[in-house]
Amino acid sequence: MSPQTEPDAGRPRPKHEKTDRRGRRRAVIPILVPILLLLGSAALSLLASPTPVEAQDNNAQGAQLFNANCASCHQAGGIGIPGTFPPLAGNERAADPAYVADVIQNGLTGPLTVDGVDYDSAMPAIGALSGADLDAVVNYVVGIASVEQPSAPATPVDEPIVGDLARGRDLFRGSERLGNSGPACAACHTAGSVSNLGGSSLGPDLTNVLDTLGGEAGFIGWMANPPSPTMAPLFEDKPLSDQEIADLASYLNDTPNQDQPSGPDRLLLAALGGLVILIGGMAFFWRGMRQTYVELLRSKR
Amino acid sequence: MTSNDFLFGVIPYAVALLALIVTVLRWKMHQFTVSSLSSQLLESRKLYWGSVPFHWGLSIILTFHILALVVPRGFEIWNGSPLRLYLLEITGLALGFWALFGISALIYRRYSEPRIRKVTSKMDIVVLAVVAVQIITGVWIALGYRWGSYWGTAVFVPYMWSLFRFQPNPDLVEALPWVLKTHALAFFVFLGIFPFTRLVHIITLPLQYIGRPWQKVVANRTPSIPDFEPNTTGGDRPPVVVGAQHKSN
Repeated sequence: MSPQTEPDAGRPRPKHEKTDRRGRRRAVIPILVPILLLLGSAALSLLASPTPVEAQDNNAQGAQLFNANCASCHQAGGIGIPGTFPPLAGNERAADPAYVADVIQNGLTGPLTVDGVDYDSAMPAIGALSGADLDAVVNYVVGIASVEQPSAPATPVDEPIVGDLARGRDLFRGSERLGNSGPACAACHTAGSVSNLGGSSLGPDLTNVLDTLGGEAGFIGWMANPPSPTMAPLFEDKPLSDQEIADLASYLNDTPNQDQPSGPDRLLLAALGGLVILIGGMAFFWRGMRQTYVELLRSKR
Repeated sequence: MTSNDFLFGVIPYAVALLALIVTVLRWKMHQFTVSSLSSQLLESRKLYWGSVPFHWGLSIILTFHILALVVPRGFEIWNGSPLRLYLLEITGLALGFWALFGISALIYRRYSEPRIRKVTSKMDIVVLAVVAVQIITGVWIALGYRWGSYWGTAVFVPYMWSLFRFQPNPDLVEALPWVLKTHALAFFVFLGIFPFTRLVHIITLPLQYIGRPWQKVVANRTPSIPDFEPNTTGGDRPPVVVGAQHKSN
């Protein structure tokens, strides 16, 4: 600490940028140390915290994870929906642990035949399952696949719920709110001619989603418990009602026939128009701010 | 702990703490430096075309970011009608372009004006770079991942609230595109450098001016400007009034 940087005692001294900067640097170093310590301890505490799901009973855990992540399509017990989602129970292919793990991690798309029934839909990769959770689910699936199933009678179909296309469109847009206050579809997706500039482009375009998921039945199964890592936490506490899902399915059934709006181009053009107005407006306002002090004095004489 | 947990679960608290403590210390110990040290007297024409769009564009957009955190439900209801959604998003994007225009002008001014280059510190360049990243990724998101005001309330606001509740849930943002993550991380960097840069001037918003009695600034001698001609028409010379309403007799 040289005497030059110290302000002279007893004499008021204007605060000077240079000495101030040095002072600031001196003040900051002792602060950084506790903050770094705190950062380190926070990191350690996060590392030390136990994993949320303790592997207690592998089979029970596997069943629980299966119900949460797989049963919305493959149904409880893995009996499937004939023609839409293949059964896992008694399915030879699903008795191979490596195959099951691969499908869960990478998804599976395309035609396949199980028990003489043809299937042609798409399963997304279930990113939520990994590590011990993945092993538990694979064990569970291999377990139900290895047991010879009595030919399961097709589950008696309840009275089918008829979807309302117009209401489905309103629910998709968000002009009618979902009963449990879940976010509207258009917040993340677009589909067909949902509105003039289209829906959102954060998530996938859902125009042809029914083809991908195997028709309305597939969509209904998917929406009952969405397995995608972004949608699962959003709808965990705010599930859609059966009627809402049916209305949306009805709307999405119609979207492939609708015209696609050209959203991005018109959005860009409109915003650039706004920019021109804003910059143009600046030429007429705050004229005083553009003048130098000299010009200001001249204009005031 | 994954890198996502560290970036979105630990860093936010570290930078918030850093910003709070160092800002208070700087205010207590070096109050005179809590300023952005205006360079308007050195150059004012380019400053006007940079500073006005930059500050107004950013302030309005920032206000709406904060509003979305406070009343996400309100945004969802507003956006339920496509027309209202488009009005909000087009206005936001136009303001984003305006701010981008402004910061470009400010960067150009800082490099093209020798006087301004002389008073530019390293941290000024860091500030310009961080804020430029914020604006560019913001505009990118508005165009590439449309209707941020809509999905933001569903996807991002819950994450921010998990931070405010001290129960950080970085998993909520893990699956988001990298541009969105960069936009958020650039804000954490902004918060971290806040007390060490000219950004501290944000807390010096002169709100007391609103209630303060007005002041009239009167120059008491003729400024020595070459072609400034004194009033020769006789009678009392009107005072030279700077920055206030001047009524000529």
